[in-house]
Amino acid sequence: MSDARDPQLLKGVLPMLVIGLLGAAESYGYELVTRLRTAGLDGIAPGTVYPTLTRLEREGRLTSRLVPSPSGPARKYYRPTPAGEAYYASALAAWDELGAVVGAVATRREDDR
Amino acid sequence: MTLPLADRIRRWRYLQDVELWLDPMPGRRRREVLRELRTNLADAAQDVGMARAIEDLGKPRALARSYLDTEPRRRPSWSLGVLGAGAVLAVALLALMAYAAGMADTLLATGGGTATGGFLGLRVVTEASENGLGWEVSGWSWALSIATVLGFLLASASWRLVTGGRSGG
Repeated sequence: MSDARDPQLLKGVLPMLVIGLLGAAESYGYELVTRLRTAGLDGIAPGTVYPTLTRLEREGRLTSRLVPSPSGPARKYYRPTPAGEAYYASALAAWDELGAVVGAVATRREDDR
Repeated sequence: MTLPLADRIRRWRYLQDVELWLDPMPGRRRREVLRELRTNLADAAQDVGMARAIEDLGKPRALARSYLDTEPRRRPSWSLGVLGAGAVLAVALLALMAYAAGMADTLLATGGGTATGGFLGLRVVTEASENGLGWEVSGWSWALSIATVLGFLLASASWRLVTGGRSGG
């Protein structure tokens, strides 16, 4: 993705990306940051991801469990709840619809030139 | 893996700052957030070092604000209120010291003696001679009392008790 990523756009899609990744495999906070970076959000700040996890858990879209860690205190692993999966499906559909609109506008613009 | 002492101190100082700004968050959740940050910092430090791990989290106040933005309602921050009241008192104390020093300076310039003045409602008696300086402050300052209370109320965002402290996030 571009380095000129709009922070507001990222803020809007981050919950969807977080739930999407956690739906594939549960993760703890820092591990999720590295997975987001590997997925293409190379500049994502942990300070953006961790509060999102806290918010999604408070909203009932994520659940967590503590797993003892060999490197120190127990890690908090997150995974989506059924409500989180429903949110993900809905957000993904909305994203696809929006993407289709953006694509249509771009195509028309090219055609009109 | 055990973190080096220097890294643990650095992390502790950073989390102390975050905790101060997280004061409006309910205690149980605040402790959970701090515990998780502590673990995540240890994990990140293994990859990039503690200094970079802390830098990646951003300024403590900004990080705390990101967490508080996710709160359904925000409480007043009594710790910040105490700091606000303390700041008002510290400024007043400095001003009082400057006032008293000015009185002593004037007395010494005129050959010494005793003078009485008023500062924000307080009675300030200054005695200055070649042998030494002396001050006596007495009375009660309503202006300072009100300013201190206002400093506490403003810094603690105490209006959230009335408004319910709804956040925008």
